[in-house]
Amino acid sequence: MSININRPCGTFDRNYFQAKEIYRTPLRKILLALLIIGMYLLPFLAGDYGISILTLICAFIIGMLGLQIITGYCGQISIGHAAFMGVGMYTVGILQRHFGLNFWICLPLAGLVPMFIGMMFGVPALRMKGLYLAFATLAAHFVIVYVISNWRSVTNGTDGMWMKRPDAFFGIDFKSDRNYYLLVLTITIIMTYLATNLARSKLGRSFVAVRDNDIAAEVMGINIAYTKIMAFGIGCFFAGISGALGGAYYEYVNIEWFGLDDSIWYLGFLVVGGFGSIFGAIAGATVWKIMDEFSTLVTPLAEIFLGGAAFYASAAFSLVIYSLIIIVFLVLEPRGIAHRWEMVKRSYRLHPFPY
Amino acid sequence: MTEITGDITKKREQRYSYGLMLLRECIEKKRPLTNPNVKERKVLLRAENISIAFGKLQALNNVMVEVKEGEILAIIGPNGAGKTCLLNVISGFYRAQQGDVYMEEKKITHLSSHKIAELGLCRTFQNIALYTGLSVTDNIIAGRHPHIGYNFVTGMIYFPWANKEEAFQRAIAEDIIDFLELEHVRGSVVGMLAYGLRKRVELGRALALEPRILLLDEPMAGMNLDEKEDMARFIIDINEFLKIPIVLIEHDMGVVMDIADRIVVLDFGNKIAEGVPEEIKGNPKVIAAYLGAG
Repeated sequence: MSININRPCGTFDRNYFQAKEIYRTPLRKILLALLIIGMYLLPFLAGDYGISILTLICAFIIGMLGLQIITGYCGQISIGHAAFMGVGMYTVGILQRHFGLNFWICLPLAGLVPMFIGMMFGVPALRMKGLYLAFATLAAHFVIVYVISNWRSVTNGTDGMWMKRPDAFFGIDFKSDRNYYLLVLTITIIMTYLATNLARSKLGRSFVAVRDNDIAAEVMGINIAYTKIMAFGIGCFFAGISGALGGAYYEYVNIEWFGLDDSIWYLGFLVVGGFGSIFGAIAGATVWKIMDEFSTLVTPLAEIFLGGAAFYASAAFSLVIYSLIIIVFLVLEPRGIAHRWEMVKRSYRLHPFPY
Repeated sequence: MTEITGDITKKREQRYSYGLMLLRECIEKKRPLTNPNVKERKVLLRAENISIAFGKLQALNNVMVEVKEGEILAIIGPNGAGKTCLLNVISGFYRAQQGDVYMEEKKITHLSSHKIAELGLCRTFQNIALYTGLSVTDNIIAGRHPHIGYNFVTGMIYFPWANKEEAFQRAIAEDIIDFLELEHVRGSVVGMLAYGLRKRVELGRALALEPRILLLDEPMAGMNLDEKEDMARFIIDINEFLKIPIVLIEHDMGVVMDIADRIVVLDFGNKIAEGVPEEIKGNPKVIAAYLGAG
């Protein structure tokens, strides 16, 4: 958000277009380009296991960006975020199963359907704040899960249903995991671009205004009702796209995949990443998925120390690791990795001097 | 790029130099800046017979206030007299139980706060109410919210015209930063700034809305003499150059008597006096309200 702080000295803005650029210096532009090229080249180096982790990280980054918009930018707590991902998944699943629609048509609808449902459940935000709003969004989770598990004729209940990956596109076959990863990565980059621009444009500023001081925002001509509902709408749009991509990766949808605990981990790892920045959302999702894999890798080691008890302990292992990370961040760095990263950049810029 | 920048400069001149144009015109035609005859000025804002009660506490009782073109109107009174309450009613924050507020003969009592702001009635708060997470520039651009044209899809994709619009808004924000002498802090996050500067940023954010009437709630509370003088200078500049009438709540009598054209005195929700500073100074009712009837 801050404008001139992260500029190396000697960089002068000659017009207002330069003044509001995100990547101002050529070095940063080159680094960004290298990062993106590196992400595209990674699957050719990593094995199948690496590709599956990368695909899930990308899908979860989109969902985390959605929660960042609702909670980080607009300040409305949502404990139903995973359920909106589920709506996205099931939208694609239902459209493919009953109407036989193409994935490319399903994907935007997988964003739009959760968007409207999210706007509906965002209405309580007009009257409630903080913890009370959290409980209202909790209702969204239970309503959605109830509808999906009981509307058997459409959703196939708790049995779940098969999903199809997108058809070949200009000769690229998405049946292979590597090509599918490249598709998910492309969509992730597009969604990150959209979220970044949202944050620095008119609506993003009004989100922050509502978060920081809703009374002043109203008096300064910002329509609070519209702003809050748009925050829920856009956030759930991102969640839906994320769910659709994740579900299509497994080619299967199940109600088990978006439990209440997932929503809470979403919020927890948003704290780890850092509220109120796009980088925070990306960092939070990445740490979450890496820790997920880390805990599965580490569990066999626990057997050495715990012996037979490890069999029972292993189920709780990932939860313990997640909780420890969140507690450590809440105590030591409540503003998350994003803030720490800003500090690293600043100290690098001023390198020989301490301040 | 130069073309676009030139375009912005042209647009800015069209839009923002009207204060300077007026000044030039006045100098050329040897006409005084403001109409000295207070009685002839047009009424811009009229609050008629406002009454509001919280339970049994009558916060405002049949108060009538008029704000005329180009004047500085001060509202004074002891603590708890209902000054801020009156401002809250005018800016649509409280609903008056009785009476109406008119802006240029248009009734605005029933409108919601953001609609009133769009009509050009803008206020600042007694306790600073800034967007603490944004930088000074972003705060001021956020104040321009109703004047930014593009919709959110355009903003997300950042089409060239959204980019151009943002640069244009940035240019106007820089004008306001120049005007309020905030250049040295333009990039800093507002939450980190000193109290006096934050008050000034809030004034800047209010100006960004291009107000037609500006309501200031204790703009000089808790400031030292230098800061008070600066703030008084800014208020007078806004009034003279931008021709914006100002309603001012202030406890510092020295400032009020110096800069106000007219003064309204409230006490326990009743209007007890109204007039030019000289009249108010000698009014026995006002003296009794401040010092206690004795």
